[in-house]
Amino acid sequence: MGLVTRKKVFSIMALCAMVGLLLFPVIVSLPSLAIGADAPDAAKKEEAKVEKGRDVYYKTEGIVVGAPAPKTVDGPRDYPRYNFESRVLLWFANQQHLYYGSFVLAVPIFCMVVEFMGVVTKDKALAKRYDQLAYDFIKISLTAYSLTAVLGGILIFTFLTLYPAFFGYLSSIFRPVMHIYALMFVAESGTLYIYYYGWDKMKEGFLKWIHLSMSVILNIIGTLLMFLANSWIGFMMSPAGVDEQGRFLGNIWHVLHTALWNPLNLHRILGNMAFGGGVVAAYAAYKFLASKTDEDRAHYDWMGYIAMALGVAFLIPLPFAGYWLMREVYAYRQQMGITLMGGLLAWLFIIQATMIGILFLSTNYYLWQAMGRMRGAEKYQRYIKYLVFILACGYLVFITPHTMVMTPAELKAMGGQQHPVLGNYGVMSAKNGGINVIITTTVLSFVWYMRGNKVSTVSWSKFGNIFMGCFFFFAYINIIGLAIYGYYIPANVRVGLSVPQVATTLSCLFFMFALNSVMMKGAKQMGPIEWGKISARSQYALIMLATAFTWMMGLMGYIRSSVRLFWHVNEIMRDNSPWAYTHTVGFAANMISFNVLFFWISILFVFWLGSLAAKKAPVDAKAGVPGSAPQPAGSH
Amino acid sequence: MGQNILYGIISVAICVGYFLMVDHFLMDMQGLDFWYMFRK
Amino acid sequence: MKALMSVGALVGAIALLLLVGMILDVVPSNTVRLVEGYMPIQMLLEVACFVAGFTGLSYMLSSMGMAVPRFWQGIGFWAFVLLYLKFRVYPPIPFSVRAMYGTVSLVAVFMWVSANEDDWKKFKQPIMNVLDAQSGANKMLRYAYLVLIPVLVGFTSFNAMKPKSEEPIELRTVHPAPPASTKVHGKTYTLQTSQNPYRVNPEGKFDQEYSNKLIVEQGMGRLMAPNANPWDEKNQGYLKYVKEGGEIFFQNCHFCHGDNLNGRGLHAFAFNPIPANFTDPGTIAQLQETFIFWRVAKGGIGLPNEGFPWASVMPPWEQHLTVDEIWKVILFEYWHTGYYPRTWD
Repeated sequence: MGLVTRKKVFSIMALCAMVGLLLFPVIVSLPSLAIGADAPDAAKKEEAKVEKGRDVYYKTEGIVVGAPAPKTVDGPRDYPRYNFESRVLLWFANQQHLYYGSFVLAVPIFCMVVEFMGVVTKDKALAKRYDQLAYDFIKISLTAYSLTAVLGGILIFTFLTLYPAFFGYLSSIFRPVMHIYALMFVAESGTLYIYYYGWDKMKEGFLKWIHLSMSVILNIIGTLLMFLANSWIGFMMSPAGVDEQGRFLGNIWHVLHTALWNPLNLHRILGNMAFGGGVVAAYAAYKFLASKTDEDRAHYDWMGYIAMALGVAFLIPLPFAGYWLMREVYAYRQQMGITLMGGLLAWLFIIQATMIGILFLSTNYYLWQAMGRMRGAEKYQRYIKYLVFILACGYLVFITPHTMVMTPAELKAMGGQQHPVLGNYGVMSAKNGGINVIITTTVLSFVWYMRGNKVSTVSWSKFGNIFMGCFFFFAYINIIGLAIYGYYIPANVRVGLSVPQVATTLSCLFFMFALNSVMMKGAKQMGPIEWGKISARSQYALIMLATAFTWMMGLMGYIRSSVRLFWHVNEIMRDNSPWAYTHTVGFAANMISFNVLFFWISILFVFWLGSLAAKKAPVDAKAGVPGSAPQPAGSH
Repeated sequence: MGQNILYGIISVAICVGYFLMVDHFLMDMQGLDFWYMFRK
Repeated sequence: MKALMSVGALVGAIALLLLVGMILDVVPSNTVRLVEGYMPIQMLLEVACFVAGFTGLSYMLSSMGMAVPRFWQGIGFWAFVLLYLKFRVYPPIPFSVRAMYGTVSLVAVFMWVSANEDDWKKFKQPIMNVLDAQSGANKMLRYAYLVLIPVLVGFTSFNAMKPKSEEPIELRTVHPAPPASTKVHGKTYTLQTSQNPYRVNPEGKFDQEYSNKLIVEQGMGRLMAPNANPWDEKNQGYLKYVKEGGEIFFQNCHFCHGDNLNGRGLHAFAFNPIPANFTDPGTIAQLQETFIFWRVAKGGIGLPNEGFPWASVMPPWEQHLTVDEIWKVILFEYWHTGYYPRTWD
């Protein structure tokens, strides 16, 4: 493809360097991965002194290589402290690092998707806008990236100074992993800087594809980094690769690949994306509300929509990943599972249910506001109150607790622990029905949004409309019917009903979206989407969305940490600090709120820093006609 | 009008059939019996 | 359309009258009975009927020229939800749940009235009228709010901070996580794998499918299978054990757990919380048999740390019954209530 220019050569070299940096740690670690059945150190020890241990999880035999988990004692040696609960300090450092880490992992994925859309979109003006959007995204994440590293350093120092015994043990087992983790940061930084600073130089043709490949590599590195960090948490919750006393048996792969590692990996990738989408949407909302010109408003309205759509798109599969995680927890230790959902931490899941409802209600509300900026969407306005009703009913059922908080007088008036009517909403059969109704309604709102300003001109449009109406109607009937059916069958059959319920919801999502886009091919437009002419309330809905995501992330992190109860490493290393108890729900909620508030204040600072640099940005940054944007093919 | 009713009937048939199949086969895939209550 | 709306309006008017009657205590809550077994759906359907009724009423009123402003529609609907939950549903719903429901309905009402710009303007109009009024009743109203709102805030704060003489709220963990194993009469039982030795088929093997076919029809109190009569003297195996379990139950357990196993025994109301209601789907129906075995054997005293505040007077029956008797009585409980123990697969 044309002359081999110097630029091309350098760019290919840069790409190879990135791939090399990515692979280098893996190659270096291969010898240690090979330590499996036989330890090369065996020659050092006398034959008679070789001790074998049995892996607590994999049940394989291995030669003991490490020291047993320390039996800590409450005191300044194992738990040095300030005049403050160390656990709370660590919680704060950890949570902030996780928030920022999640953000800087999600944004490059967005960049990759949006840059790719910019490359394949046929409309030149729109392609330029996508490209500029991707550039804006990566710019935001660059400042956040250094803050992530700083917070990571703070986290490690907190571990070292406040939990030396524990961290010493953990690092003795994960020594090579931690080195690889550090080395991969070199790869990540290098790739990120070349990707960002090389953006303008690699704008066209062959170089653009190299640039895109760099974004893929960047994301692979970032994802691998997260996987490595997840292994530490997986080990703490469901240890493997050590014997009952916590002695390392030489197989680093066993230590990495614990029972909960992959469920955590998947859940966190999806969670990152949803969270990142929320943060970017809130950024766009803030900029929208602060805009002074129509052009700015149009741009940020559009940005907010894309970020929200991506975030919610990744929100949809998140419950499956969460369900898989819970199943693996139950399969690993039934007791941990019951502690989570049936016992001590059960109330936190009601709070989670409340947050999930807020997420979906905000999304729906935003979509209805967004329909207000399209001519032709008025035909759906009269039905919105019924959607509100359905959403509210689904939400109320979803958040009804099984065990209610009540005074003893109310308990006596109720005649028992369970309310005869509302108690029935407190069990999974009803709740699955509730949440699936909520999600189906969100899909319906999305479909209405996508066809809001269009009239179908295909020959079979009447049939198509009737079919879509029927499909949604029977989807609701099926979901609610299955929920009611569950009460009349035994528990082990009822548990399986959630699968067809979810399949119903997903059927609506896939088939109705597909059918809608086919029906809207060549459709007559009643008017363009008037980007920027959206109400301020919708932007607050986006901010609500982002805040709910952030709060929920903090909550689930708290749950993940507390399920270990009084163990540093589950059943291997006991927590003998004075804080080996579970906080009250109220305290935990306050702490989470504090973390959320701190994160948002600090990220506003990051955004402000980003805007300082923006003063030098080229004026032609916003391509396209002021006020209105050409319709992107297939989606808005 | 008549054509609309025809469209409606076809749609209902397709949708009901589809969802019943989803229910039956997804339960079957897990080794469970969707028609439990009716088998009594 | 008009016919449909007038039917809706009629339904709405009657429903509202009933509700007002319940609020003023003129009409008892169970005038329209909450039918056992259908209550949750019935509640949702009733609310849907009310919504349909309100739609009809507002349509009729606006066609008569007496349209209800969106502002009053919103507030009225929210007030309706609160009153419905407080006065129609019986037994009374705890305040915490009503607060949750009230907040969600407030959010839903807000979403409804602000869904598009027109509606939002219409909703805001009465508020703006009061805030901007230069003369007349609205101006007076504004001054009245200026006085009333601080008084209301003060009164609410005072009420909230006033020390109360009620017992504090207890958050009880109803089903604490069971231990991995429990030792009863010298033998250790692993809860994840143990099985009821009396839930057997005629060949003597553990068979829950077989026993599930012989239990009582749930909530109906009649036998599912015509020849599954435990009192038949010729019975062997499962049905015989059910009868023996029943004898043990009525000698030991029914004083608290009641003749109908619904937690309404002779001594039930002497305790707080009252004894477990086995007919409730939230008790034995969703638990494994070994969990029940652990609870019966170890009693309230044997609850783990997680079972705070250990407010259970369940006696540790291992001190009075043999292991076989415990298994049989559990067998009987499931038979009588028509439930199946939860299984793993």
